[in-house]
Amino acid sequence: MRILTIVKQVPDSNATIKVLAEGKGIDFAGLKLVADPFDEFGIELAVQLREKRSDVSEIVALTLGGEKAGETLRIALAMGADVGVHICDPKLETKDELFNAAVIAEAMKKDAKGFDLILCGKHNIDLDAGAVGPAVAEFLDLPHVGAVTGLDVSADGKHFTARRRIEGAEEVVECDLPALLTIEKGLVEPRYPSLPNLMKAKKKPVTLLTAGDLPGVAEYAETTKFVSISAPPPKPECKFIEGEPPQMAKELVRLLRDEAKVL
Amino acid sequence: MGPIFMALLLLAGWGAFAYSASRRWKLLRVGTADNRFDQPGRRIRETFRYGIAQLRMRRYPLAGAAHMVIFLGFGVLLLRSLILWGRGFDESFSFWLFAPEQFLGKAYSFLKDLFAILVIFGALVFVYFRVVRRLGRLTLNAEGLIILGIILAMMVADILYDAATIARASSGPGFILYEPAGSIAAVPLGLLSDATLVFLRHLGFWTHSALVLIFLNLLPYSKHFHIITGVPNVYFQSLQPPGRLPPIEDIEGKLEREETLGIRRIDQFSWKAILDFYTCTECGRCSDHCPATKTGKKLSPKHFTLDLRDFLYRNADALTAGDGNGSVAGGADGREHHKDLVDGVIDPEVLWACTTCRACEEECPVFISYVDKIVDMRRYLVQERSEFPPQLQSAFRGMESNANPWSFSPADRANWADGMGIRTIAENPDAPVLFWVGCMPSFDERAKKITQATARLMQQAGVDFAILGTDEQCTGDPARRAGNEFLYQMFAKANVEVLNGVGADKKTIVTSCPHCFNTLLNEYGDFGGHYRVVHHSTFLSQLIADGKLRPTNPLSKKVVFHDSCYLGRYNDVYDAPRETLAGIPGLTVLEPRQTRDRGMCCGAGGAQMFKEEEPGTQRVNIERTQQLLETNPEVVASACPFCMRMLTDGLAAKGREDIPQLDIAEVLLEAVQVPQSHAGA
Repeated sequence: MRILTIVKQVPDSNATIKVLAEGKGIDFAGLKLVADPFDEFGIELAVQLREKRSDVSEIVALTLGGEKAGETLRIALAMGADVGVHICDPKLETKDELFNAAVIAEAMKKDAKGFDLILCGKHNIDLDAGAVGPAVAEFLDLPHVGAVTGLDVSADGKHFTARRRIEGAEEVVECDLPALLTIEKGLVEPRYPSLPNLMKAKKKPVTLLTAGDLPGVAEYAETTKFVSISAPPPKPECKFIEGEPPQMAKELVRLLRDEAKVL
Repeated sequence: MGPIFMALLLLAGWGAFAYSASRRWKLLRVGTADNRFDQPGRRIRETFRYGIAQLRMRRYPLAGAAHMVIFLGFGVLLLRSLILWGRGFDESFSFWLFAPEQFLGKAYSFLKDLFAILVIFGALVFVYFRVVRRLGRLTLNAEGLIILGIILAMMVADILYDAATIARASSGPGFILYEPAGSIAAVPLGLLSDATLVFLRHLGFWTHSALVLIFLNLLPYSKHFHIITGVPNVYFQSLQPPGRLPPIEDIEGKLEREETLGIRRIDQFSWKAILDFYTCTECGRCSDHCPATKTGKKLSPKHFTLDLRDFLYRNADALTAGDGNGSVAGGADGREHHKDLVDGVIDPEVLWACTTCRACEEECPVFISYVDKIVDMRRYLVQERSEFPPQLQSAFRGMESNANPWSFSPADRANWADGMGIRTIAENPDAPVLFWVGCMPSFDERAKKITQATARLMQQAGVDFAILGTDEQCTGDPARRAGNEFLYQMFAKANVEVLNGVGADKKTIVTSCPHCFNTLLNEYGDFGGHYRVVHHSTFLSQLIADGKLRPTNPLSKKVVFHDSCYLGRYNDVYDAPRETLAGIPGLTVLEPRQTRDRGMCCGAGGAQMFKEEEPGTQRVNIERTQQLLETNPEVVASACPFCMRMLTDGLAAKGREDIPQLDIAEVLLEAVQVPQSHAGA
């Protein structure tokens, strides 16, 4: 069984995002970048499958992004992936999810051995978008199960049963491999790579791909147009009304009418 | 009295001992290098204070007195044993000057009798502790009782020998002033026949002579090895500040060479650690004061040492066979003596229960260290096996991504100072005082109030100070104590660069966090950062002493003060926080029973703050809160943001939210006249 995990480099969830002038994008200078925590679930799941099963032959980690995204690949390799694929070309940099998915699908087509299981996060925390996974599955004509919270792969490695939470219930899906799964929080807890594994990760092979390696990408057009980005308005300050309930109620009504002007 | 037999006895006794001692010597040399040969003057002084005068034994007054008597008795009776061995060859042998007719001989005889009696009393005290009181810190086993039995028998045999000699004297039994014990014992013996007396005299003589040798041969195999190793162990104690953990040098090089980070195998401990194992007296004082042991955790410092010692002894032959000599590299090779200690020798739960409070080290009469060993074993677990309590991962990741273990946004680090008119070091580069705030006091809503109170007090006193603002990062202390030395060193290097860049080495650094205080003061030296660091308790008490702060508002409250481990035991700051409080009119400082160097940990240290407490019968903070509540306080005061969190939780758990938990700075601020507009003061 060969497993592919797709990893994206994103700003740390606690980092303060600064917007560039005129909303041209976000300021990456000094911004702490990490592997997307949902994608890390995918890597962890792949590594755990190998620890549990004897038939996992290789775990490949793939990322699409600028030079710095290579750091994210190193994290995946330190966690236990065997080899990396880094699609790195400014010509391929876009915020269009479908285009990104097409690039990844083209890169996967170049892989002669093929993958039995493709894993990625349910969504990415940077743009809160989750189209890449399902779109890659579509482009490769593979089945896809989204937001998986439980997984059982059959002993022969040909089928799997996945669980996913849906509104008010849990859905159980049976499906054949190969397939693409996007992982929801709660299925696994990503490991903290040990120092020797971080060292070993530096020596694991990473294949660099550029636009020239993926001629098929030309078939696809960007479907999303980036207009501008802006920071959310700052939270207005809370106002506490003190006193006895009758006075508090009166004061609240006054404030709603006179200050907030909503009554 | 039988020269051939005595010769054989001595040969066998000393021969067997030489064999055992040489085995222990070889095993000691399996340990890795550690230079403990510096500062001989200071080492000799320490040895006199703690090895000879045994100042730490006095912390348990009765046991200390009993031990002192036995210790002195052994010294006095050593000469007696030599004399008796000599008399095996020549019945009148007495080392010349000590002959019975010489003054020195008479004086010595008297001293020897006195101590024989005192040693009997001392040993009986220990029998009482073990058998009658059954103190929890002691393990009731055959070894302890056999040794006490031998000591008692030696003394009795010695007196018996003298008594029979006196009883047989041609002048008839009489009271010999310089042999009081023998004379008294001779009175009943006078009733016996001469043949019986001859027998008893021989019995006493040979029993004493032989028991000394048997005792000698038991030493290397028992807790009584400390009779030999105790004084050297005190001499070779660490002279580094207790707050400084030795750094792992050249981590990346070690990784390249596949050497262990931290301690994985028994032969990776230093020779001094092995001497610690030899020296443990099993007195259990460490565990008596360990917050983990007290609250039912798996950790007992005594058993931690004994488990390592027993494993070391079990594998002594394999370890000394040659291949393990000082080897740091390599790991599992399937052989028992090379096995990972965390796989069956020391349960990881034991390691993770430690709060690094140093109560054990403060108490140990023979200066055995614990915290460095526990952290070294954590270093291996965390860095190489990546095995640690899961909650620590978010602390590590928070530090990596946001330079604080809670993952607050680093951009918000100085938000506490909004509107206070506080300048950063960039705005006020010549400020003589740098206020190092720390993570919790920067971000935590409750702890921010400590920071604001401290800043207000400094403003009030006209102190020209600045903060690093968003350039400040975690000191790395939680990572270091959790065993993540690599992460710690990243912070140490980065912070030293920032601090040296703003000339902090020529300023006074003030901080309200004892953990930051300790790391900045004691641990950054290894990374090129040498600073004058003052905890806010010391700084504030000095401002009061200098008349710059006048606590004039009376505060008629009974305040119990809780010592922070990293302030007190680690850095000997006990008085400053008390003085800060005591200067307030009307305020009474209460002391819990467990106070100052015996103050119990709040439970947060050693990265416990960032993980779930290990399973036990009680939570450390609740136990400590209970101790504080026993003083019936109106306020619980602390001088550490971590302690504050633990004690606040403890008071809530005890249903005593009516008692405010305040930092000394907050209490002081209440007592200092604050003008309406403090800004720009």
